[in-house]
Parts: sequence; structure tokens; C-alpha cells
Amino acid sequence: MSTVALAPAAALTVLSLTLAWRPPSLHPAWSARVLVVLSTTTALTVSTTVAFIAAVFIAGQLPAEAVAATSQGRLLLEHAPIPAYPGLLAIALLAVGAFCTIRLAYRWWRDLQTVRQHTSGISDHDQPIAMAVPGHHGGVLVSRGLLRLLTREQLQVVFRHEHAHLRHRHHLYGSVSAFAASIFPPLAWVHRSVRLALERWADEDAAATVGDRTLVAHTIAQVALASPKSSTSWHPALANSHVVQRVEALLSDAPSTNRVAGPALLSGAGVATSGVTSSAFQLNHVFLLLVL
Amino acid sequence: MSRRKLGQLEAEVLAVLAGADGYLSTSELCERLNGDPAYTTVNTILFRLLDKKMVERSQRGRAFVYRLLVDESEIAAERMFGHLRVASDPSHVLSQFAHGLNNSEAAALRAVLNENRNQNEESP
Repeated sequence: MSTVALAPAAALTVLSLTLAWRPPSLHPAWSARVLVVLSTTTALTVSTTVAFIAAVFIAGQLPAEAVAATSQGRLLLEHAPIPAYPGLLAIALLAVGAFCTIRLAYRWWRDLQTVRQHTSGISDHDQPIAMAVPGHHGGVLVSRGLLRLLTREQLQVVFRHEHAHLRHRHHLYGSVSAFAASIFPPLAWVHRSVRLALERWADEDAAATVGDRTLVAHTIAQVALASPKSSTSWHPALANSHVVQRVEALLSDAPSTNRVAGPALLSGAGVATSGVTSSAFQLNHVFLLLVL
Repeated sequence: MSRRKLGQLEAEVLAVLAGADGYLSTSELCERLNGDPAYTTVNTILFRLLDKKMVERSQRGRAFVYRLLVDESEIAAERMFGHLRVASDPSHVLSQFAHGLNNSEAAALRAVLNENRNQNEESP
């Protein structure tokens, strides 16, 4: 097994993490799309590569006659032997990915069940809470604390923001990138950027309809400052909230609604990464294994 | 309109009602909503919101008119976050409008707001 087989996975990982770290100056709607495409293809490529390494390693450990009896087995043996260290590492990565994915799926399902029981309405909560509830009977959940805190104009901002989440199906982007991050944990950094881009997207949507960027910025700031303090995390980059970045962005100029750059970068990223992903599939004989 | 979109339209109706001074009738609401939703659909949404005590209704002539209910005493709030740890959002799929800040973030946010205020005063 040559190290060339690792190249696509490594290249995509580096590209995703670079873009998550230094997002291109696009409208957040396009950043979100590009990042979701990248994290999905990266997760697919990495997981097939790792699965292949694990399969070759396991085939190498089994008795040679039994494995060579089948054509798949002979294919795997061609790439053997894999040293113990990377082989075990691949198995460990697969196990971690599978565990995190199952855990995320369970939590996702439970959270949606819980909010959907209440679909939308007003909660008796003193904290200012507003969230979009996706799905058939979805809507907007707000708390008494929020209604007490904000003026009618500011409430309009909140409802527009949540409406944008529902209209553009942001929960789908969020869950796809969350699943990618659970398959391959380093993509959690990309997931963070996706979440920021989605919030920014909804902010910009709200600002465009309301027609007042400062009002949106001040509403976010007011709600965040009135919310209970979050615990201090050991590193500022891991903090849960993107509030400061969102407010800063709203107080500066509107993002360019360049109709070329975003779609161009997205299709470019799509074509390039699907090329890399399929080359990874070929290198790893995924198709051959599937067909056989 | 598919049922999938009812929640989305509900959010938009709330936004329009929040932005309006006083009461709006169903037809006035229809005019202000995007995508020209059906009168009956908007009425369905209004009944749902009325049921949840998020809007209040009054009568103007023969038509019902609605407005957002923000008066504390009238709001019927449900206890619904008891078992849902929304604040931490373990699945990272649902997201709140704005999360709480830690001390350094709050300081940074105040700095951003002050800086913006100063700039506006210098160049009105």
C-alpha cells in the first residue's frame, strides 16, 4: 500500500481546515454552502480511506489461504502488509467515528422530538430565548424573557432571523456538517465555521428585510448580554458563541452580493473535491469492492 | 402551500405583526407576506397563533384583526424547557438566537458597540 492512497484525504483535510480557519470573503450564504460541501466530501474521503486501510490490515492478520479464496480478499492482500501501528490507528479512528455518529444521531433525534412536542409558542422562561423549530409543525419558540426584553422592532428582527433559518433549511446544513464532524472529529473546526456562517446568513437576511443593520446588531448584543453567562472555556476559540463576530460584521459594511464569486467558488469546490473524492475511491478500490 | 412551509410562514407572520403598528386584518397580512400565500393558509396560521396566545384578536367592522401579543399579563406561557437543555444544545443542530457570553466575550462586545457609537458621533 503506497502513501499515494492517503494523498486525497490529506489534501481535502488541509483544504477544509484552511478554509474554516480563514474563510474567503464571501456572502455568508455562499461560505456556508462551500464549507458544507467541503466537510462532506472530506468526511467521505477520509472514512473510505481509513476503512480501506483497516480492511487491508485485518486481511493481513487473517490466515492467507482463507482470505485469498475470494477475489475481494486477493485484492486486499495485494496491498498488504500494513504495519501494526497505522492499522490499529485506522481501526481506532473508525470506532471513534462510528461511536460519535451514533451518539450524535441519538441526540439529534431526541432534541428534535423534544422541541417538536412543543412546536412553537411561548416558554415560561426568564432567559431571553428564541429558536427556530424545523419540520412539519415547526415555527418559532420564544420565551417570556425575550418578549419582556425587546421592543416590537427588535422582535421583528428576531422573527426575521428565525424565519431565515426555516426558509433556507439551515438545520439541514447544520446536521450534515455535524455528521461530517462526528465521522472525522477534526472537522469540528469546520462545523464551527458553518454554524457561524449560518447565523451570519440569517442576520444578513433579517437586516435586508428590516433595512437597518445597526438595529440587528444591537438586538443580538442586547439578547446576548441579557442571557446567563456562559462558563469560561479554556480557550477563547472554543467558546460557544459567535455573538461578537456577528455584531462586528453587522456594524461594518454589508457583504457583497457578488453573483459570480460565490457560485463560482461553490461549483469549483464541488468539482474539485468530487474529483479528489472519486480518485480516492478508485485508489482504494471502493468501487471494485462494492461491485465484487 | 405544503405543510412543511407552515412553520416558516408562521415565523414570517410574526415578523410582519411585530413590525406593524396596531392591528392587521388577514388580507392586509397577505399583502405584506412574500410569495402571495393563500388567504385560508394565513387564517390557519393566525388561528394557531391565537390558540398559542401569541397574537390577540379584535374586530374591525366585519373582519377580525390581529396583533402581536407582548403584554405580560395576557401571555400564556408554557413550561417547556425544563427537560430540554436548549442552552447547551448537545446535538449542535438547533441554534438559539444568541447565546450567553463569558466575561471576556462580553467585554469585547461592549468594546465593539462603544467603538461604533464613537464613530457615529464623529461622523453623524
